[in-house]
Amino acid sequence: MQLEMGTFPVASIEFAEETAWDDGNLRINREELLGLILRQGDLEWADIDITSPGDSVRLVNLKDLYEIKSKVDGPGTVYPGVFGRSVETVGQGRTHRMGGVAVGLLVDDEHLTAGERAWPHEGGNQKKSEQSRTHARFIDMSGPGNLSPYNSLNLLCLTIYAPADLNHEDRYTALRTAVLRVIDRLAETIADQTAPESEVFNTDVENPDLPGYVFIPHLASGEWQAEAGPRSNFGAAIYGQTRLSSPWMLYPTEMMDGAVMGTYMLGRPASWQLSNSPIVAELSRRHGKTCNFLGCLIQRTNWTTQPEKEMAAERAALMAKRLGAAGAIVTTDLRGQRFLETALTVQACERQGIATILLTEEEDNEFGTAPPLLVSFPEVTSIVSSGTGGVEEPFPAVERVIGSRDPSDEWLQELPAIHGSYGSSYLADYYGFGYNSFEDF
Amino acid sequence: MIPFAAKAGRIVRGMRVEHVCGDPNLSEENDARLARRIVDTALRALQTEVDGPTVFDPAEETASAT
Repeated sequence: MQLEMGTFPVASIEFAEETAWDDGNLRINREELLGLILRQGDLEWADIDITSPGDSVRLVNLKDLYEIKSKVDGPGTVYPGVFGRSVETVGQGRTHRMGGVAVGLLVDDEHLTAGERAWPHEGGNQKKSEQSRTHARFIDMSGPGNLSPYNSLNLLCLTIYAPADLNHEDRYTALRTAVLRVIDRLAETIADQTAPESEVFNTDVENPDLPGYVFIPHLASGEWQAEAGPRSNFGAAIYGQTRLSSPWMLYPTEMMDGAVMGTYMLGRPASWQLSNSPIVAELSRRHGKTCNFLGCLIQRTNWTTQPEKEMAAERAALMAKRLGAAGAIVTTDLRGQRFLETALTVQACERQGIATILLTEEEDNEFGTAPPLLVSFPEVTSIVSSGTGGVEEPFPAVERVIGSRDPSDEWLQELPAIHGSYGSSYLADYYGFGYNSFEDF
Repeated sequence: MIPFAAKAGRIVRGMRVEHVCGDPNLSEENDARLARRIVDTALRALQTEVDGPTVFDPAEETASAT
């Protein structure tokens, strides 16, 4: 399975008459894209903003981040399987993507009740009670809160007013499909052009002298709370499948094509991150040189009983072993029981003789009084910390707020520092983009 | 495994993450009976000396008069 990834760098974005990519400049016809967002009549208001790192801008209500790309040669379509898109296997042929840019989905849902707003975007905990939400929901484009990957991406921000008259499933579908219409349109502009940069990924041929590695990302499933049942569109999807399942084995190039996308919780933008996983990219590049990259085992979490969690962990470990893995890199995407399930996979892999590294965010250390991880098994011995998700200095006042139809003046003001992951969810780094460690490693 | 990880002295085995004190698969009557058994187990746990993480299983609890 070979994928040629052509990259079209985007150094600047501007509004223009015509939607086009030309020599690093992405031009956007604002009215055309707004028309695409609102086309189906289920959304009443949307806005489009452009921002770049260094701007005095605060993003609020950011729900997900997407890469602009399209399949230009070979089978399938990027972001396969979701919302009725083809499930034909991707990861082959040629894909064109834009680099240095991402599309943000910002959903203004302030007018909804806590219950309406909570699901699907915020998860179950906030279903029943009104919680203080302001502190956790922003990204600054400059200052101490402008961390990777937001410090290296030009953003095209689609702010959409959440429709109140749809049920959860329909609201979720309306918002996400609107973004995909924009993505597909923008990617058309580079479909027929020659990519300035190109890289070929192919992990088919293994070198028997090199150790085999697998990547096991854990993605929470919303099946247990999805009102539409296990076939809900809601949450992180593998070819559109969101339900709890035994691990799915994917080729790394499938992930690069967006076969795994979506996000479980508020403020955990993940689609761009999953397509651009540094682990997937780097292991693919090292394939045949220093290791064999045997594949990605996408493990679902949020099993509801302890025996289920233990069984799921064991299945992932046995699959890794059968693939010939000598080593595994394991990540998680949420705290709580999802972290327990992730740690169980590490334990199961180690018991199968697979040297396993856990890449994870740390818990808030509560000023030195709390342990860095929720659970600790003796088998969990190799850990890479991506920090606590905290920023220890205030977030300066900003000139502009993006993500709200009628932003509160409070958003413009200086905001207090966030100590550890209890306060901020946006700053979580589950895939190793930054070096936001509480202590340098 | 979990007792070790949780580092708690007394642990009462529940059912599911979102139903710690009952089982929605049971009839209302049996669910209430199970909930009672779990609470009884917790009370027994509190009255039992332990010298390390110890699991108390509601399945081992004898039915109490309601």
